[in-house]
Amino acid sequence: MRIDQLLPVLGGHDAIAAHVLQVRTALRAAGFESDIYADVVDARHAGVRPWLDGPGRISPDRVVLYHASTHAPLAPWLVQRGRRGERIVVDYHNVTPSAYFRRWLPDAADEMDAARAELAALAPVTGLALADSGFNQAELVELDFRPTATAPLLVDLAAYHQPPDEPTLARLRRQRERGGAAWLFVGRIAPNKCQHDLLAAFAVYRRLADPAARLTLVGGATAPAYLAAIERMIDELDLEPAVEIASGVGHAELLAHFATADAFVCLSEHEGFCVPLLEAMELGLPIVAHPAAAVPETVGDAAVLVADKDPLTVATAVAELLADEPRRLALVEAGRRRARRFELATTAAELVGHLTAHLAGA
Amino acid sequence: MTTGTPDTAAAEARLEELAPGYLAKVRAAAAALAVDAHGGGSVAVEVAAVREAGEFDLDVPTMSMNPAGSYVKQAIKRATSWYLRYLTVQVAGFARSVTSMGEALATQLERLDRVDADQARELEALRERVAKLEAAGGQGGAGGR
Repeated sequence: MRIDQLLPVLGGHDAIAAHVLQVRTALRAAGFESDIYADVVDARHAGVRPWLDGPGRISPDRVVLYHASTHAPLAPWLVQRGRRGERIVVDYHNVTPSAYFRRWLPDAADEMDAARAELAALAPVTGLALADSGFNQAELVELDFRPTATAPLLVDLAAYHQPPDEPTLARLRRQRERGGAAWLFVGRIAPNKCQHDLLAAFAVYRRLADPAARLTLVGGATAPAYLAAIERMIDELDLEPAVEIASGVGHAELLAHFATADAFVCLSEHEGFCVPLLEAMELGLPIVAHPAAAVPETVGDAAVLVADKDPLTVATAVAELLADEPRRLALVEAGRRRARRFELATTAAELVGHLTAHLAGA
Repeated sequence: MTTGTPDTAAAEARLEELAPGYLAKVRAAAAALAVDAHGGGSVAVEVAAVREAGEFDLDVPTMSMNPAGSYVKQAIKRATSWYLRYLTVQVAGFARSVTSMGEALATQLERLDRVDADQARELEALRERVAKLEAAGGQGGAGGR
């Protein structure tokens, strides 16, 4: 029996690429033949084939596991194949609502609308739809996918215990020696991630509690106009020396940022899972977050969830947490416990279990 | 998990004492970039969006999944930068003119909105006055006969 994975883009560092590679390993370990087909493939991924090489003959002995997260020409093609009998399983990683991008990147907003339409078209030809979170699963149900199941992203947490990048670590430690709490957020600079709310909360925190505090935003920009607006906001609020925007950060550098931060603050409004929250929990960083989308189910009981995103509310929540050492330590411990739920062995078994049960039922 | 809003009243008072008006400035800066603000249909927000869209980034990304692709992109970027700059200066100038016109229209619309609101209030007051006069006139007429 074959389970081949199909996706539009297999990038170098992103969470979906890491997930897809782990899924292949898990499927092969479970005795399935499995390959990856993608439209665009990062040069680092040897052995991944262009999707045009993949179709072959439609066979009852093969399932196509399609990863849906973006607009892709291969989605309508897959619908056609499904109508002709191709066995399809969808793994849904969420599509950001276009409203977040309409102002900043209209073309991307159109693509997000197209991606949602393509996803909906897949529903009638899909035998099983998996989702990273209950939040994503609810969207699938709304689009008439049946049956559905939750299977979290496969993340190799052991990889987060490798040594951090030494030069970055040394630089960040020197900053720490000058005092002040270090806020961290990891995620693309994008309107749905709401870095503008983070800046606002951080600005109030500096005035109110800690003038030497620093904020690091790790992530590349999705919408250049939004990034420019964020940079202007940094100027307007006189935050220039205290805020660092770090793009193009590799894994070892990321570990250095986690190792030297005091709190992970996430005010994102739309997350299908949010791997950086899992990273923060695994690496012992207390989380203050806005409970939007899949954030509450990812963090479980291991975060301070603020009731609103007003800068004063968030700044006060972070200040209270960092001033209360027993509470901070309890939250760190809760985070580590919560991260155990997402251990690779557990999540891989869940995903393979759903697929195996589906195939047995079929 | 901890939920709920911390007691922020004391913090707000302290911040206002430390930096008068700063919280309002921060809240306004964040609200201007929020997606809800854009959905509100405000002319000022729409004009701000045009202003943001009118700022062009000439530093074209040259990263590529293919290492050779990155070199090709860098070469193209260097070779065409003078051409792009020439065009961009003109397009950016046009965008600034459009934004200025939008801002002028927004200001005029706000003024008209204020006039409209004032007149609506005046009209309502007049209606109430007429209703009272009619009521008083009706009573007076009945009593006089």
